[in-house]
Amino acid sequence: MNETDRSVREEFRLLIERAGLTVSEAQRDSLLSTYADLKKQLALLHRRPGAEPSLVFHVPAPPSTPPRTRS
Amino acid sequence: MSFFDKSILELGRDLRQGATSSEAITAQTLERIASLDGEIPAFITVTPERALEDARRADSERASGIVRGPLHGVPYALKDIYDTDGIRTTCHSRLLIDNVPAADSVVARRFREAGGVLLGKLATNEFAFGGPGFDLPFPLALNPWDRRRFTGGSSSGSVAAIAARFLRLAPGSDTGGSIRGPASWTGTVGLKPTYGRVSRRGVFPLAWSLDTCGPLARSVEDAAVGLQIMAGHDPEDSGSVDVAVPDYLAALAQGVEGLRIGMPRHFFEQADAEVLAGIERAAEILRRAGAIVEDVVLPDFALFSACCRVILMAEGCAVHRDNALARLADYGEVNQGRLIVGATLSAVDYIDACRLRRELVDAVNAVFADHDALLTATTLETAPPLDDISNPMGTASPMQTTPFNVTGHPALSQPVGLSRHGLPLGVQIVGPAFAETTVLRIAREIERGTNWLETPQPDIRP
Repeated sequence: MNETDRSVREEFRLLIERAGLTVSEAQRDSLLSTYADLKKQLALLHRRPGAEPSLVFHVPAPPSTPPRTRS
Repeated sequence: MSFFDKSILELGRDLRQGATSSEAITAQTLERIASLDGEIPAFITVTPERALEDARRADSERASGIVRGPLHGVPYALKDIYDTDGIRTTCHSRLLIDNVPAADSVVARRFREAGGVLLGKLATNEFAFGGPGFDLPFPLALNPWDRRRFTGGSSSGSVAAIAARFLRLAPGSDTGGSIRGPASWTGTVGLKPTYGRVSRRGVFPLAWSLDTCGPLARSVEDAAVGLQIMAGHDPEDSGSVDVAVPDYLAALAQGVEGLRIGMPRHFFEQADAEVLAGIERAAEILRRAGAIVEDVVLPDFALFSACCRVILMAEGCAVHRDNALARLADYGEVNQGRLIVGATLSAVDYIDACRLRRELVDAVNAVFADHDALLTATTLETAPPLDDISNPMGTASPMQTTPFNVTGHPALSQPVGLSRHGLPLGVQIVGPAFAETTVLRIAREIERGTNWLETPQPDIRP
C-alpha cells in the first residue's frame, strides 16, 4: 500500500467515524474502492466561482397592491 | 390473440362491447400470476380480494353507463414504494416490513379513480436505491428474457411483471434511471416525465430534487394512457408544477415529420456494437418518417454522472440518516455500503453539485433551443448477468440515464429489437421540459418502424 492509498484509507475512516457509522472488516475494502471512485467524481465538481447552486432560495413576491394616490 | 397481448385500449373496447368482463380478465390474470410469478418473483404482495372487488365495481359501473376512462376495469400494479391505503408498503425492506399506510399516494388514488384494478405491489431494489440485493426479505425480481440476468433497478418488479405479460402498465419511479434502465433491459417502455409533472406525494423518497414518478408499459400507447392518469399539478408536492396536461393519446397520431432530433454521439461511443446498431436503426426510421437527425454536442457525460451521484447520495443519506444510525444492519448489504460511502459527502460537495447542475441544465436547454428532442442510448449494454453488475452510480456504470435526472427533462426508453442473444435493446428519447408529447410521438414512430409490438415476448413457463 502506497502513501496515497494509506491517506485515502485514513480519510475514509475519519469521515465514517464522524458520521457515527461503523464498517465491518468484510465491507471495508469494497467500500474503500467505492469511496475512491466517488472521490474521482468529486474532483469534477469544482466550478467557476460565479456559478450559484441550482436551488437558489427565492423570496416570494408579495401580492400586488393598488398604487396609492394623493388626495 | 391472447388477451394478455391486448393493449389497454383493446381491452377497453372488449369491455365496452361486452365481449368480456373485468372480473373475467382479472380472474385469468390472477391465475397467471399464481402459476408463474414464482419464476420471476415480480410481486411482493398480490391483492386478489382488492383486485376482484375493483373488477366487480368496474363491471357494475360499466353496466350502469359509467365509464371512467381507458383503464376502467383493466389490471395494473404498483411499485412497492407507493403508499396504498390499508395495503402493506414495504419498499422491499426489512425496515418497513409491517408498514401499512393509512392513505393512498396521489398516484394510487388517481389510478383508483380511473377505475383500474389493483393486482398488488411490485418488487423494487430496497428503497429504490440501486441494487440488486440478495439478502432482503423478499426475493429479487428476475428478467423474464433470461432469468440469469438483471432486470435493472430499481423498478425491477414492474418491468418483470410487464415483460411476463401479467399486466400492461405499472407506475415506477426514476431518480437516476430506475424507470428507463429496467425498461431497456426488459423490452418495455419506460417514461420518466419532466420533474414536477407527476405528484410524488405518498411515494417513499430517494432524492427529493431528482425523484420522478412515471409509467412503465408494454407499448407507447399504454404508456400514454398511464401518463394521462398520473400527470397533473399537486399543490401539496413542493416539486409539482402547474402546467396544463395535454391529451397524450391524441398526440401519438401526429408523427415526427419536420422534427429536429439531436444525437449526442460522444455520450454513447463506448456502447456495445448491437446497442449502437439499435440507435442507428432508430435514427434511420425517424429520418424515413421525415425527421431531421443530426449530431449535437452536450457537456461531458462524466459531469452529469458525477453531479447526479453526489446529489442522489447526499439527499438519499439525509432521507435515511436516522435509520442508518440506529438500524444500519437491517438494510441490505448494498444499501449499507451506499449509506456508509454517502455519509462521507460534505455540504460543500453537495453545493458544488448543485452549482454544476445549473450549468448542465443551461447547456441542455441551449441544445433544445433549436432541437425538438435528443436520441441517445439508455444503457451501453444489454442486461448483465446477475453475478456481474457494476454500481449503477459508479464511473463504470453502463447507465446513460442520469443526465436527464440532473436536468429534469422528460426521457423515455423505447425497445428497438433483440440482440443476437435474444436480449432487448433500447434507445432513449429526451425532450424539452413538459414536451412529453414529442417524446411519445418519436417513441411511437420507432415502435412502428421496428415492429416491436410483433416481437414474440419471453416464455416463462417453469
